[in-house]
Amino acid sequence: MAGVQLRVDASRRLQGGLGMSVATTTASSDVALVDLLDRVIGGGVVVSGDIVIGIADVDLIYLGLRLVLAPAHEVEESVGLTRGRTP
Amino acid sequence: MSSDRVLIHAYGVLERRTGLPEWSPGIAGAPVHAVDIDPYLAITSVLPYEEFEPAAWERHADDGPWLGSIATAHHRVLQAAITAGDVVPFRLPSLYGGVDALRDAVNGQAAQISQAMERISDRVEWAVKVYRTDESGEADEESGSARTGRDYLVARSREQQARAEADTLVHDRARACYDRIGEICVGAVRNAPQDPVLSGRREPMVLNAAFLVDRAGQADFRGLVDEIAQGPMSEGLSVEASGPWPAYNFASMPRADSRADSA
Repeated sequence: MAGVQLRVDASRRLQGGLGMSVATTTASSDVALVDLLDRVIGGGVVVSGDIVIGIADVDLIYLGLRLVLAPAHEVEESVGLTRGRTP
Repeated sequence: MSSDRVLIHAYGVLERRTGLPEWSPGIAGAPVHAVDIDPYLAITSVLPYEEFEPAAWERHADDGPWLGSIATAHHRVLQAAITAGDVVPFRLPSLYGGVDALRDAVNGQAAQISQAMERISDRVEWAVKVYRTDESGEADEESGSARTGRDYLVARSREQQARAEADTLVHDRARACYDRIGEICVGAVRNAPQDPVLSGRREPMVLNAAFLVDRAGQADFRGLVDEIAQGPMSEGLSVEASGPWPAYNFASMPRADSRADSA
């Protein structure tokens, strides 16, 4: 089963406690890479500085990245993020 | 050949009066500093030029781990920041030749940033994803057991019709969930559902929404999502919420798909 396996353990955990059948997770406890990229590349304010102009087409980078993500089961290990360093 | 030329990465801006959290290391493990750019504090890290210049982004355009590590570090810093106060997140890449360039850029976008700050003030983002869990294969059996070609065609057409009706029902339900949740939120957007390959989930995603929620209203938000997830409104669907997120989906210009035009 392909898919983005990368999970990031981020800062703080909110206690769920509400649901039984509902998976009410929190952004900070368990974040999939695709969710992260959707937000940090797809969202936020664009503030152009001198250097940014040189980075021509963010969409292309993103597109390329999505293609790479498809067989991403190896990604987890190669990204240093899940390697033991707790936030 | 390496030089000591550097770039400034800006994660976003905070209101100046906001207390600062304890920063954990940012992109590439670099320390995080707040830079005073009246009336904001820009959250920044100093990065080595060679590793993050435009050509490096092009080189790494299809390098998931590279961009993933940047995205994660960027997000972590912003996630820490929203525990302290309101943050306008910057979209990646967000690199400047120096503090003066960053200052010029922020001042140059002052109106947009201040609108964004106003919009997200005392608010956070929550995400709601809805997956379809009602997939059934009964119709296939029907056509499989057909005896003649005509039987087959009739069964096939019935099957297609049933499928179309089920699709409509599912999408109407997902839409109803979105509308209902939006009623108690300040803003709502629907993003493209993620492909199963990227989401890592077998069930098709039928709604990928973000909501802008008053900090004080988060318990109500979660309560409502929970109620919907367990109630008849979401029959055949799995409803999942996550948050609080920095207001990534609401910091740029307002999108057309707000509640106002959800008809």
